[in-house]
Amino acid sequence: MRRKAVLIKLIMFTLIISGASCSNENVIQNNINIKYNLVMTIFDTDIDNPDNDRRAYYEVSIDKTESGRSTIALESQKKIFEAKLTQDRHLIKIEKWVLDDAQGRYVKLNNIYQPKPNFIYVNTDNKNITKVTVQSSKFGTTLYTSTTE
Amino acid sequence: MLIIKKSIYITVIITTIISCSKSGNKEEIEPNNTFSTATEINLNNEYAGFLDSENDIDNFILKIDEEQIVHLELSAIKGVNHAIHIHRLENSKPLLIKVIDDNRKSSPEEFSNLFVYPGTYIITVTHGTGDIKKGNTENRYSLKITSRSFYNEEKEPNDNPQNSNIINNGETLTGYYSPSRNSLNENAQFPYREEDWYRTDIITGEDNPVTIDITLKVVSGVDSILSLYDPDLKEITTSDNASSGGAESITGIGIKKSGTYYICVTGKSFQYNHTEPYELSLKLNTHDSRNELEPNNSFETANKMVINEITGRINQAGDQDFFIYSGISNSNAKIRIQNDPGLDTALTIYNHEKSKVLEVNNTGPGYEEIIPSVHIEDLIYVKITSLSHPSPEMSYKLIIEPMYIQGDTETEPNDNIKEANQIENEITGFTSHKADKDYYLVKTPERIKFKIRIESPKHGTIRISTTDQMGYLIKTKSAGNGETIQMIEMFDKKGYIFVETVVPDYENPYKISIEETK
Repeated sequence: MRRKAVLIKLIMFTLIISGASCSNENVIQNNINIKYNLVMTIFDTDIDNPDNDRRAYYEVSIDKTESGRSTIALESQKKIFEAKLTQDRHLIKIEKWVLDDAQGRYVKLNNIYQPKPNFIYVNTDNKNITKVTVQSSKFGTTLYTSTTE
Repeated sequence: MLIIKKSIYITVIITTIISCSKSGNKEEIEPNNTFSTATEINLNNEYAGFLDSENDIDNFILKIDEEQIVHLELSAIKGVNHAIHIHRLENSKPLLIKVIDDNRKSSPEEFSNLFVYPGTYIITVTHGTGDIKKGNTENRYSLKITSRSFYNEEKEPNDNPQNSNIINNGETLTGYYSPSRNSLNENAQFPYREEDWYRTDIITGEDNPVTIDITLKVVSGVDSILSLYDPDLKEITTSDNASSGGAESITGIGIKKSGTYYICVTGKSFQYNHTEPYELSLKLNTHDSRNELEPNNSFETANKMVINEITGRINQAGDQDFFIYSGISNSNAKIRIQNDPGLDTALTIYNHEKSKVLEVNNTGPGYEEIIPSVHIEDLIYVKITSLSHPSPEMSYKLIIEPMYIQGDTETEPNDNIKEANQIENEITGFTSHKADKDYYLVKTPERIKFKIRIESPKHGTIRISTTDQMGYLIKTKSAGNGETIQMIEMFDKKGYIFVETVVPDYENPYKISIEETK
C-alpha cells in the first residue's frame, strides 16, 4: 500500500515536472513516433474571379508563440501547416498574409479581412493526428472543422 | 621769269611726289589675266590693282631663288569677295598648291607661311566662289608679299597626309592656323577645313612597344584639335579637350607596329590666327609594363597586366581603359582604383566571356573605388571609365589584391534570382557597391524548415529577406556592424535569401549559414 503511494507520488512528480517543462517553446515536440500530430488546411471558399485569387500564406502561432507559416498557394488553394505538438489542449491562431505584387512582398492582410474568428482550440496527443480544416470567405468569415484520426 | 621759275619748281615737286608714291606701292600691269601675261613681282613689296570687272583676274609671277617663308596679305575690296590662288610651275606646267578664300565679301585675305623653294610661282588675285562675281573700279586692292627665313616649322602646303611634313622624335615645330579655310579640302566630313599634317617614322615591335607623346601649344582665338593616325590612316586617337586657346595633348599612346604615323593639327569653325604660331612637339618613349599602353579602349586592345598593379591615364572625358588580369585562377581578389585628386572613375569587371560581372561607382572625384571581392575563374577584364575630367593627363593606379577566403564565396553577378548563388551550408558575401543586391538560392528535396544565421559586415549594414519560390519577399530583417541575427524560414523545394546593402562595407564580408531545424 505504501509502495503504491510512493509510485503515485513519483508519477505525479514526473507529470508536474513535465508540465512545467512544457512551456510555449516546447509545445512542438521532437519527432518520436509520428512526424506530426497537427495538420491545418486553410483555403478560401468564395473566390470567383481569378484576378482576386492572390498568393497567400498564414502565419501560425501556437499557444501565443510564433510557430511558423503555412505553405504558400493561391487563396482558393489549400495551404498546409503541420506541427508536432505535445499532448495537450492548444490555442492555434492564424494570420493571413497576401502577396502585394507592386511591392514584390507579402503583406499582412488588413484586420477587417483577417479570418474571424482567427483562433481555434485543439486537443492533440501522440497517437493521433488532429486535422483542422479552415474555410474562409473573402469577408473573413471562417469555419473551423477539427477531426482526429 | 619768276613765273617760269615757280612753274619749274612745282613741276619738279609734283614729279617727285608721283615717282615716290609709285616706288612705295607698285601697280599691276594690265592685261595680266593669263599666266603668260602675269605681272612680275618681287618679295618684300606691295602691289596695287583693281578687280574691275566680274571677269578680271590679276596674275603675278614670283621667282624664288632660295627656300624661305612667304607671307601674303591681300587687302579688302568693298563689296567684293576675292581670293588668292597660288600655283607653282612644275616642268613649266602650273600646279595649284593653295587657295586662300575666307568666303566673305569686303574682307581681306591672309596667308602667314607659304613655304617656297627655288622656282617660279604664280600668285593670282581673283574672285572668290561664295558670292556673285562683280568688279569694283573705285577701290583698289593691295597685295603685300613679305618673306623671312625658314626655321623649324611647317612647310605649307601640308594639307593632307601625302604632303605631310616630317617631325622627328624630340623635335618641336611651329605652324600657323592660317589661312582660315582650305578650298581644296574636299573631305566630305570636314569640307574646306584647313589642316596641317605631319608624319613620323617609328620602328618598334610587339615585344618592345614605344609610347608616343604629342603636345600642342596653341594660340589665342583657336579651339584646336589634335589627332594621331596609324600607317593605314586609321585614327588612333584625337585630343579635343581644351576650349579656345587651350593646349591639347596625346600621351602614352602605345605603338607596337613599325611604320609611318601621321599627326593632324586643325582648328574648329574656320578659326585662324595669322600672327601667333602654335608649337607641336613629339616624343617617343620606351614602354614600362607598369604603365598602361594606349590605345586600350576595347576588349581587343586591352592591356595585359603582368603584375598586380598598373598605372593608367585618362586622356579625355569619357576615356575608357581596358586591362586583362589572369594572375590567379578560381580564386578571389579585391580590386582598387586609386584616383588622382579630382579624377572620378567607374570600375567595371567582365569575365572571360566578356559578360559584365559588376560595375561600381561608389565614390566621388579623387576617392578610391573598391570592389571588395571578385571571383576570378581564369581571367577578368577590368574597364576603367572616366566620369569627370577636370584637367588633361590625370592618372590612376589599378591594384588587384588576391585573397583567400575559406569556404564558399559569393560570385557576382547575383543581383537577381536568375543569377542567384546556390547556398549549401555557408557562404561569404560582400557589399560590393552602394546598391548591391545578392540573391542566394536554397534548394530542398521537400518542405524543410531552416534556421538562417547571418553575420553582418563589421562596418556595414545589410537587410536580409527570405522569399518564396518566385522570389517574393516573405520576411525581412536588418543587421549591422558585425551583429549576428537568426531567422527561421520554411523552404518548399526552393526559395531565396536576399541581401540588400544598406550601408556598404568594402573591406569586410557578411556570412550566411543555414541548417535544418524542427
